[in-house]
Amino acid sequence: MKLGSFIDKKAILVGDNFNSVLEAVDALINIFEKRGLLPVSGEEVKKIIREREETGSTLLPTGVAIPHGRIEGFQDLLIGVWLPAAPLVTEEGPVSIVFCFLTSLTGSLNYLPVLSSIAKSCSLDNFPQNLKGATQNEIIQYFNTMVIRKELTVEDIMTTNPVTCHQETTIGELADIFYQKGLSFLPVVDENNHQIGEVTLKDILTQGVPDYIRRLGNVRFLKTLEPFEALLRNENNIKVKDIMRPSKRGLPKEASIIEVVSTIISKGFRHIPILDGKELIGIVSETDILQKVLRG
Amino acid sequence: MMIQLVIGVVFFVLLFILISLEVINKTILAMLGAVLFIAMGIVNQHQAYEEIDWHVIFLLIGMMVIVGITKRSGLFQYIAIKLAKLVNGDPVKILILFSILTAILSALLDNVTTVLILTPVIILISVELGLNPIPFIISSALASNIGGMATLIGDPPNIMIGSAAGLGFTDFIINLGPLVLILLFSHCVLILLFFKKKMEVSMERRARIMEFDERASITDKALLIKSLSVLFLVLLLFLLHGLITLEPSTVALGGAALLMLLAGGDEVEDFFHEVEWSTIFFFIGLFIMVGGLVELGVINFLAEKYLQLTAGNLVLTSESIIWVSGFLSAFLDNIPYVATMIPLVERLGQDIGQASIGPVWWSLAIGACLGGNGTLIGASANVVSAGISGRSGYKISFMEFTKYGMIIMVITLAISSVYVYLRYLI
Repeated sequence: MKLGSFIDKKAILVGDNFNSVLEAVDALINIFEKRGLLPVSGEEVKKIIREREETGSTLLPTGVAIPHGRIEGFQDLLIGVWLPAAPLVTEEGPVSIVFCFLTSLTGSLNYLPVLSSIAKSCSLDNFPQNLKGATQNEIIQYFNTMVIRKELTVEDIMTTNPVTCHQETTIGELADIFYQKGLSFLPVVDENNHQIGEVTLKDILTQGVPDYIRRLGNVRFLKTLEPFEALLRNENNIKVKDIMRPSKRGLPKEASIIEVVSTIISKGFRHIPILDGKELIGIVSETDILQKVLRG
Repeated sequence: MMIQLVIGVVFFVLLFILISLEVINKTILAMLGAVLFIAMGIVNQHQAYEEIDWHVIFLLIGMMVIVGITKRSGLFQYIAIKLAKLVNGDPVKILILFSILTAILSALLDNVTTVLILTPVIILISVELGLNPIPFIISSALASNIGGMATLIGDPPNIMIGSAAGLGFTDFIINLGPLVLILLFSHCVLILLFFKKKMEVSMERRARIMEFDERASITDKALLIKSLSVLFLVLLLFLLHGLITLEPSTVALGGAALLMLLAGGDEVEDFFHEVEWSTIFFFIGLFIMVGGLVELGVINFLAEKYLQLTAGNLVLTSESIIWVSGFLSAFLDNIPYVATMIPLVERLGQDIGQASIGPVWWSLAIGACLGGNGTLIGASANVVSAGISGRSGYKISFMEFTKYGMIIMVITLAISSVYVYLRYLI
């Protein structure tokens, strides 16, 4: 399916001088209402969209604003577009294009694929800057080049260019990466960017607590032991290859969202490396699911 | 029949070698072997299942559950730390006391559980004292095999022998208890000779041990009381075996059920995880295979050869069984060894006379238990403690363990020979 097929030419506003995203949204909703496409009153819909805006900005860093409303009992996906003549300056940043989405409470099947296709165009095509000054017809034409897959795959929601480390990385450097980037998991890759193992923050901590201490089961009686002393002394001598484990995780980039989520749940993983053949191309985390699926 | 005999014997010997080399998981081998014996018609299916000694199986299962729950209370860790503090962190006294503690616990629990619990504490204390933990670990592993000999439930060979020969908990304590005390004493003397020089520690280090708060080890006081009560009740019923006619296996199963009831209804599945099912199925497979060997006449054949060699002389039979069992158990797994020897000794009993076969049973138990000390691979307790030690950065090589273990084994076997002779054979 093409994105153009989802959008009525009449719901594309070009050039109007709205002072805010919400003003444009109101205009688009008025159009929908006039054409009898809404299951409830326009005012109701405007309220729903405002409530969503209050929970957090819907402006993507690429200048695409995606105000949206989930309407009870609604069984369709309505998309309205506003392309300002020049980027609209807002508190959250410049807005180059507005997509207003109306969908059901659970989200139409096409909602997430559409979002993902827009996000993909942003990263590949210099979109939305390339639309500057386009007419309605040109916009529809461009939208028709944007293909929507019905099945969202993990590739659409993963974090690309993930941080990785190598076998020779010392655990001192590893701890720095974890600390500076706020991470707790890193895939270990070889020179071809093939995943050969994984390390977690826990693997570093494990180095500070010798095996016999872990076997004690209950260490409450121990008050004086300083397990990290030796670790801190040795952190530049111990290398990732000494502490890494063979990675039992990893999904192909074609994996579906449901496969990712059920793997996260059943295996207790918080991060899953995504592979293209053997090459590591991304990481998906449970936070990605929250940010890009549950609150996408 | 001839083909069956050849295949049966070849496969059993092969199994023995593979188990001792640990090439393939021994439980899987025993199960495959049992099924092969049935499939070849060496034992018929119905009879195969009757070969399984359920007394052994249920005694093992019952004790695994009881001990598994009891160890969760933190009691054993408490005792170990308390002992170390009682002697003010004196390493020589700790070395001896920990060996004795391991021996006592091994007599009441099983050896592997005992070293699994105690080895980490032993390493912790020796590391805090600034000492190499290896002497402590070797001494405890050896003491565990000596201590396990003292009771019916201390070591799997004893469980098997007790069930086959109709020997109860009290019989083991009366007959082997005094010997174990003598052996333990000798063990401590030898250990001091081996390691005393290495036990020098500063007062500063000893003060670190005194900082441990052993009371914090007890995680669940209610569970501690419940599990200790059940454990004592079970031991009491073992002792009263003669009066109440309840087999130890029944007592252990009852104790396990009672403790699970007391310890918490929701965790029952969890408690059953304490059972080492692979060990249980190892026994099941072995019993069927040994039953097959009896059917094939192999055991009869071996027994007749043995009788020819010893000319039916009881002294020669007993003493030779101590030494042969000892050296074989040092290299082979003593469980299949004892499983094979049991029908053989039963067969000897038919010739020598059931009334006088008693010393031979004790000789078998002594040889099988003490033989485990001969090498690093002689007993599971050795393998497990060396494993923990290695993973904590203190690798114990085969030779390092064996050079001490072999000396202790030979000396304890010699003392036992004299004991058996003086007590039963004159």
